[in-house]
Amino acid sequence: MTDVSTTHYEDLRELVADVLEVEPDELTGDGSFIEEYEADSLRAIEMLARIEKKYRIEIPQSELEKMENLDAVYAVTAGYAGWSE
Amino acid sequence: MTTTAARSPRLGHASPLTEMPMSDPSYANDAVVRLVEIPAGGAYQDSHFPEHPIFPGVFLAELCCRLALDLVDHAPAVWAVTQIRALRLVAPVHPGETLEVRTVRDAQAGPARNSVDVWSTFSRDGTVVGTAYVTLEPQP
Amino acid sequence: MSAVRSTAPAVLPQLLPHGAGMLLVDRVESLTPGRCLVAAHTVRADEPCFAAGADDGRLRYPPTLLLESMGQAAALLWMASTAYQHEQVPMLATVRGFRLLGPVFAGDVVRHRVRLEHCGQQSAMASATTEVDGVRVAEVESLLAVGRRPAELPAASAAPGEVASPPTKEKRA
Repeated sequence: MTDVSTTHYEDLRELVADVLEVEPDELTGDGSFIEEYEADSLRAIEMLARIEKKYRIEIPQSELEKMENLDAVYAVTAGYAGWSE
Repeated sequence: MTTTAARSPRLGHASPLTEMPMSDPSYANDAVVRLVEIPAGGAYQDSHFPEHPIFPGVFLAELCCRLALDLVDHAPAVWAVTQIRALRLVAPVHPGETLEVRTVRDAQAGPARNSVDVWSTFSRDGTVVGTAYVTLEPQP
Repeated sequence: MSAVRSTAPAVLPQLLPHGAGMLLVDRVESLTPGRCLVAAHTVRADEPCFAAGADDGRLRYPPTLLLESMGQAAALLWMASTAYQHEQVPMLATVRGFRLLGPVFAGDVVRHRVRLEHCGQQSAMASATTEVDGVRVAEVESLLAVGRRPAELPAASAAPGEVASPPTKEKRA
């Protein structure tokens, strides 16, 4: 279970890093996308679309304001994807 | 051997843009900066959209290609756009607005010999509204 | 039933918000909702971009208008999906990996094959290839479209520069 959750988290790290155009190891779990990685509103939409596509889930755009860092992205995605880790 | 006067470089495709007033280029740190006024009207723009006038996002890429000519060599004279590697339209742009366009040429060689990769950042009142990243190659 | 699903594929392009001058898809030739679409556009010699004429042979169609045409085909595929919300205006948001593989000229019929990679209520991702007479002339890895509410967009009577949405602090990525 721990290995699976680590994999999901690391997969999300790669995805988010690609959207933000930074190296995966530059991303911290609680680093604010807007303040630390200069993300704009379009990056948020891109991130949401790519997460939905990758995991075949639907996440309402209203959740975007919560998805402010990698930890939060993982938490929201886990909820909609039904990861019980 | 005959010599020919240097011709300004130009793009090899028809232009979809109407006349766009712009400042002379200013060069700083390998970048060229121009202020560009987004025109109102024109056959394409009047249709995009009839109820809501918005500068077509693909025309930011077109503008990037045109401003890339500030940074390419004069010979060859005709350049083909072979790639639009990336285009990000962060916010709608409207007729009558003035954008600051900062265009940079990638120092590394492009995908083919003599090809050029160019990146433009479009800002309105200090806020980025779009970016474009294109590749130009000499047109045979 | 939505307007899109009750409209014959051949006339679907009329549902796009573009005026005639910027409508760059003539007809949808096949449609599998939620999956893929084939659409065609004839590049006409009287399109505004060719108005200046050419002094050294045929002028090539602007790659950016070819990309716009691909984007409109992708928008139609999204509009035909059950997830699409019809009170919004579909607009291109990002492009990754557009390549022009050969020139396009007036008279060419460009045929776009669009594949929907993902769609939701307010955004959609697609990939596409374009052929002329069976020869591929362009391809795009990824197009992202978003839906904007008409209230967010300036009305035709608004003053120049009047923007509905507040600017956000951004820097070059």
